[in-house]
Amino acid sequence: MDTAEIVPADCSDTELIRATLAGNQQAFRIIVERYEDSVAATVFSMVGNIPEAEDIGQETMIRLYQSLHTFKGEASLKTWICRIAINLSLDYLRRKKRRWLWFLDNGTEVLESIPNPSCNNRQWEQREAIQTSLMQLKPEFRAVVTLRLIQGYSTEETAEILQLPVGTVLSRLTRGKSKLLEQLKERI
Amino acid sequence: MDNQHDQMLDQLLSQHKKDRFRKGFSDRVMNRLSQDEAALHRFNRELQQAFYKVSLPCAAMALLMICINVTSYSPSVWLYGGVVETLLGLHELTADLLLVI
Repeated sequence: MDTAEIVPADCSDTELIRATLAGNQQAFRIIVERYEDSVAATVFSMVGNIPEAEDIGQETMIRLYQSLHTFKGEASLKTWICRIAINLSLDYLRRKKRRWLWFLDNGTEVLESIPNPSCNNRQWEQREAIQTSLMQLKPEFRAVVTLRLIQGYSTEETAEILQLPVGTVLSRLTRGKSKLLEQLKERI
Repeated sequence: MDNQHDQMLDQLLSQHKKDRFRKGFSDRVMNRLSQDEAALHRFNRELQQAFYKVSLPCAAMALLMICINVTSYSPSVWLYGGVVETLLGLHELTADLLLVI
């Protein structure tokens, strides 16, 4: 049920959550608009620029809506959304890997990419190199690299989102960066 | 890993231009949300209807059996138990009959 009350777009997350829980759909729309770029960055870095990425993004927002009543505010809303996006991306990658193992008996991921006409060739090549190199990382390393280096979360925040000890995040980051650098050296 | 390379990688990744969802993402999410809610309401309503379709005839049948068997309602029922079985007419079921069923 939607309450007709108009919510200002500059409302705090807490106010938006309260309004959403009171049945105000407009408030939830503001949350979606506020965090869609963050979700996109996370999902695209995790699964690549593929059509399914939008489905994962939509599912992230639906799951957020369904679990909003359990949000206690211990972490920020952005962290909470990012955790959902990462978990759904990892689920997708696991399912995809299982499908490939089933059909081809081969666990390597295939990068399906959509060219972006807004980039020039050099930028496009660089983006492709980064994206392709990211896709070569194992999902657990990719998640750490995405959050820590692309999204710019701190090590502690990354650990909180992935629900891992800080030490594990640091070791995965070091190994992930090392592998990423090897890949990038071949491509750039 | 070389520190210079490390810094270069950090810089390259932080500048990595992020892809965005197609325009109208929030509209699509809100549409899907309202569709999901409508589907959930429809499912709940159908479940409720199915419950009544099954439970009301069952309750009516049980009531009918009670009415039919109420004549056999005697003090012996209280003494030897089996009130519900007697009321529903199940007290005549023997082990042999159960095997047949």
